[in-house]
Amino acid sequence: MFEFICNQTLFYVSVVLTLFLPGYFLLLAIFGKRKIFFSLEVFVVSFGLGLVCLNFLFFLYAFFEIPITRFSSLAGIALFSIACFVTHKAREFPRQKKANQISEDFSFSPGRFFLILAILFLSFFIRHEYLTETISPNATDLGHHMYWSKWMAENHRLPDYEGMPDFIIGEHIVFGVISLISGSDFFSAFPTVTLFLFNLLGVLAVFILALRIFKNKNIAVLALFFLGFFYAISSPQAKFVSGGVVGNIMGNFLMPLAFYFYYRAFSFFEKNQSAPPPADTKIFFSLAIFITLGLFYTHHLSAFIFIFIVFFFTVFFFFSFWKNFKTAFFWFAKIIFSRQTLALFALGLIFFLFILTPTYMEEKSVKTAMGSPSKETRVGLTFTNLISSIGESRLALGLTGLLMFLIFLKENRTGYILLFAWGTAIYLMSTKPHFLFVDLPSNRVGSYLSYPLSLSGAYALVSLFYLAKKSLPRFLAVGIFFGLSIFILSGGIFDSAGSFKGKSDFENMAQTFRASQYLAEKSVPSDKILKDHNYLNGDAWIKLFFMRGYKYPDSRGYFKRYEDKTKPREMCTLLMISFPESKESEKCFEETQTNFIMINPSFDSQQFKKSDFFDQVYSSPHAAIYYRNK
Amino acid sequence: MSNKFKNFFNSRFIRFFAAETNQQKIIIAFIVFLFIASSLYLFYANEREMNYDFNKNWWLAYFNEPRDQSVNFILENHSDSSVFDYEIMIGKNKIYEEKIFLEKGSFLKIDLDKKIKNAENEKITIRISDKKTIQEIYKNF
Repeated sequence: MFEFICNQTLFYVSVVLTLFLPGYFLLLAIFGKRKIFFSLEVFVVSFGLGLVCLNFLFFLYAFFEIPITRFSSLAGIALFSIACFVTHKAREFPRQKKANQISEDFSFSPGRFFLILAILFLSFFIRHEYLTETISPNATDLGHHMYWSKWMAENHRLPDYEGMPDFIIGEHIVFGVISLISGSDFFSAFPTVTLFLFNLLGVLAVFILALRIFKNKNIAVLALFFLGFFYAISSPQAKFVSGGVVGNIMGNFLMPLAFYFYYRAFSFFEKNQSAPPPADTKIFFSLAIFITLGLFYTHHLSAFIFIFIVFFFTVFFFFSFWKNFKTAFFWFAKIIFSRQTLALFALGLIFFLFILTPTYMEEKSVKTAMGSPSKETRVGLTFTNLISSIGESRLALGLTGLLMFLIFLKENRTGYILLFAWGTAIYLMSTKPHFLFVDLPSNRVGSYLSYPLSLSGAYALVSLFYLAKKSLPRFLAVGIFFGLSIFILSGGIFDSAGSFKGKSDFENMAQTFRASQYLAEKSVPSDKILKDHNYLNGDAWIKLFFMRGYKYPDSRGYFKRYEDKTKPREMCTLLMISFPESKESEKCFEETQTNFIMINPSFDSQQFKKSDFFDQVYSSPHAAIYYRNK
Repeated sequence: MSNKFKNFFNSRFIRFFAAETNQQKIIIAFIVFLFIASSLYLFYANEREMNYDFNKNWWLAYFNEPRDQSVNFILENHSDSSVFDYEIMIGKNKIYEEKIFLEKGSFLKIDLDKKIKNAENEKITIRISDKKTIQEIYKNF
């Protein structure tokens, strides 16, 4: 028990040290103690900035070949934080004219305040319940990602990914550093809990963005409800947390956070376009760029979607400000070509070109993502697909909200333009990819839609209620509101209820892990091991027992992959397990020198039992190991 | 009823918590509290599920040395059974059998090398049973 408490304390301390402190001190160095942000904003923003700072810090470690150890990690974070604190002390910050200069956007009536607490409680509760049933480390994606984080922690440097462009460094640094500092085991709950934290921070980022954009607390609270509680399990939320879809979860935190800063940079357009922008505008824009750079180092799909959103935003923005195009363009250019922004661009360029270029920055990757859809899964989602992905009620309200934003497009509301661009870009990318020459899995792109649609849906529901209240008798307006609420409630709750998949099979997973432990002890790096991906539970985590390469041990993949005529692949991994005595297999064994095979005996033992060339050296109900004695 | 609600929201206790100056801090403290409470349980649940014995009922057998001539094996018990029978076969002939007692969560190393002789060009199979399931490990010589 004492050990458990110590481990937990170390974990929480390391989360604060790695994620919160660098961001908090960076904010302090930039803004001092001026009341630019509310406490809740400082809390959320610090985590986002902290994550990006942490990544850039370790890029420098890689560049200067500084070993990444517990001491060096702590020293780097401490030095950065101290440097920010000293800057804060040394700088003179402009005095605030009034102590209460900030608006009332973040103060709530007692009823609303308790409603927020209730929504937060429910948001935690529903995720917690789902994660409790799936907490064991058996998700394939999480296993792949944690291999690289463990590699970083064990080898004391950033991974090179063995030339694979699918992994991006920002997805792994934070886990590696937390493990180094806290000593947390990768088979503990810490990777899932860290992702859980990012998911919740993403929801909170949407909440603070809604409070800033709408300046209507009802909409913001409803958006929190739509995203926090409703559809809290379905993709891209708790399911992605338990599934270890690291990049998507981080992307859905960094993206709204970047939009938050972009909005704060451009919100002055909503007030007075002829007056120069406030002094902090350029700093907000620089911070937005900083978060964007972090996003580009974290997840390629999120970054790719982000580019489209920015493109749509720019088009809609200038369309909206068409009458004042000259002035708008002037201030736009003034912000972009400011000292702060250019410095950030230069910094980003230096990091991209000279310090650490993201693995996906290859011509091949761009070609893979752009062009006419090459597969059936990439031709776009149908409306039925969208309903099952987003939820009927949220989709209906969200699209209504987007249409409403379209009506307001001419009213120069920067926030609405941003939300419209966010929703429209992802909607088109996921349903009509050929319009935009996008060649990516449509359901992966579509999963991003729930964030903007929660915001536009909340806006639509509140606006419809106000409209009904104005034009209809009160009882009718209230009736419509309750009718809509029941429609939404039933949709959201049924979705979450249906998403509970029941408890994971921990016993099967335990058997896979015990067999892996045995093999890791009894084999040497020159041994060649082949395992099955179809029937072994949690097999993606086997490589973490060996740490002998990302592709070690070899794997018999899903059967359908061997039948895919568009992507011919090697057949040895299939043949050596399915037909170990065939002539082709014989050749494969000779070529690959495979001598250990791990399978689930309920499905694959008979073919080995018949052969004299295999000894069964390990037996448990759901994991068996064969040794090739020839 | 509505008056009761109003009184509830206007009570001094509630007003303290809902005071605008405290609201943000309370929300943050609440989030931190929920996160710690939830994650503590998740860590505990994970640790429990990673335990080979907790709520599980399985046992396993393996050769101590998978690649050489040794047939010493280890029986590891994570099941509710505690009595196991094992037999040794050379080819199709049973040459030895024994009953062993093994508590849940423990393992036993069984030394057979001294008991088995003249097994060249034969298959040695160790068949273990807990009366409900049978498992076997073998080596071809």
